[in-house]
Amino acid sequence: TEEAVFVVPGKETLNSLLHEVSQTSQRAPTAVQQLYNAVIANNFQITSSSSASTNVLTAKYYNVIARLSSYERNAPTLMFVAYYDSHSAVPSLSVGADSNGSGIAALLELLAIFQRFYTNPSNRPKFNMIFLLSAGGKFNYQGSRQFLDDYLEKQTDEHIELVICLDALGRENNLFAHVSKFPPEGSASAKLFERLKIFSNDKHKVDLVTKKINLGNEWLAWEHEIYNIRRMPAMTLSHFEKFTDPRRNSMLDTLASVDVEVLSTNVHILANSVLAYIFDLDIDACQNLEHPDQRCSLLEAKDVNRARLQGFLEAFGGNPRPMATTSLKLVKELAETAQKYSTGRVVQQEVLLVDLQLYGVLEDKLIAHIVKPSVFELLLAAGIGAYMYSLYYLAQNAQLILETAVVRLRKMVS
Amino acid sequence: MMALATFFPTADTEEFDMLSEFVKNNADLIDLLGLHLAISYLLSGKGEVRFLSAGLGWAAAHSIASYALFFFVGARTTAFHWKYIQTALESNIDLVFYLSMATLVWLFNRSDLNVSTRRLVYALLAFCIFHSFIYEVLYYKFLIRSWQFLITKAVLTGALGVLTTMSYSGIYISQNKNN
Repeated sequence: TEEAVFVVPGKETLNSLLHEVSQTSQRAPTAVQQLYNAVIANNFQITSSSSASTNVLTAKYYNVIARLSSYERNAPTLMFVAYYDSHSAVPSLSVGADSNGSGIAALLELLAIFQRFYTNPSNRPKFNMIFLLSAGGKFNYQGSRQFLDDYLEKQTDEHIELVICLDALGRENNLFAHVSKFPPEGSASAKLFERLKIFSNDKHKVDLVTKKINLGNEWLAWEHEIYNIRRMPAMTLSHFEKFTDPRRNSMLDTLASVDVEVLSTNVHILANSVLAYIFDLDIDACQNLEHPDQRCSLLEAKDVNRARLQGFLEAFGGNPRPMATTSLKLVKELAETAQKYSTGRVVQQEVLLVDLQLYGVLEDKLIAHIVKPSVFELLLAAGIGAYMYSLYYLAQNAQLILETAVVRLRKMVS
Repeated sequence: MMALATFFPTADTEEFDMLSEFVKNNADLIDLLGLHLAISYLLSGKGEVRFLSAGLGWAAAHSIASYALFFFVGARTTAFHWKYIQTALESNIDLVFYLSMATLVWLFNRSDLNVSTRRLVYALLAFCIFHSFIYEVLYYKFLIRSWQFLITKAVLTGALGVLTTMSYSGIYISQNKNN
């Protein structure tokens, strides 16, 4: 038989229940106590309110796509991707603040930062930007797959030069750029990585990690692999060095595990690198800084708005975001937030799940009843029987009892 | 119950306001009036038969009205709780109580009692009227709960029963008694 495992938040009543059960389930010190336990001790019967989930969830899933347009013909496009769902052993308790709440916050913050450059026509970069918040990231990046399917089907003139995937940027003073093969000289990936290295420092390093795509494996390692399979240059930025790191799918990944300072630094480095790339800034001067206090940056420290970043993190990274939900609240909120900073309308693209089936029941209610063993009922019946018999005896001899009582009382009083 | 609901608006708090509870107990006077009507006008037969049957009937009706729904809804659930056993014993205590109260009401209306017996009857009737008030004081002020509370009730009602029997049989506590 299959047994269900329930994960319950701690409660005082639960502790007392556990205490009682452990007391009576062990061998009692004396035989009398054992007998007592067998007959009178409290047993617990736990019932669940919903049945085992055999119902496949029929829900709609969406990608949220925001754009910053350069309004120029034939401008190349840069893409930023972050998946917005979370997963762990217990989906409805998986907050996923770092993986990938930090990714969402970073993406939205980048959108807000770059939007400033797109408002003024004279400042506008000659690059289009797409910001994709993809669904189903924890299930082989369904959102990215769907986006690519639709994009390649449309066959627009749009030329995506580089895809940058954000996957957990909220901790640790190291950043890794994951690619599938070593970026050739002069390619977009190489140029971006060069700039990432320039804008990082000794305290906060950026390293390259190459890993071949293993198509034989059921699960893809990183999101950029989906794009690489379709021959688009892509990289994933993450503080995790290995894709097998268990902290990527952990229930303990709550807001407390994210360091906003680190996240802010990562966003800063990335924003600077991207700006240096799209404006084709001369980086040679940056590489030979004379004075340690000199910094090479188009952004001031305050341009990465800490409060705004924290707000995004708490709003979108602070609550569990399991895929198996019919609620569209999260998608709506992401779209509304992105709309504030994008040019043109934010698109909600429907995602169809491929090779995946989600089951619906994520939460359940358990009720524990205090039950006595069945022998106790017999004991109780015996006790009640004795009581009733004594009442019967009293009733039969009431006359006699009352008379003797009155006589005795009379003697006592006089 | 209806008089209670009409004339005494319930406060929303769980506090035990001494004065309001005291005043609420005056509604028990209606219980007394009802018993009096039943004994004097609605039943026929010898004195003892009347008040005994009135007391028994009143106690049975009170028990059913108060506890039937409680047992029907609560005692059939999976969970076991001692409160059901306690309520059952409480209804037994109520039987003794109402029987005593019926006796006292009948004694109250008789004219052939001597003074001390009459005083005893008045005192016991006062206890009967305010019995729920006294129980609530014990519950909230002295914090007697569960089984101790039940035993206290049993003892008090038992004493009531004994004293009622005494006053019924004409035994009185008097200084100058001649027989």
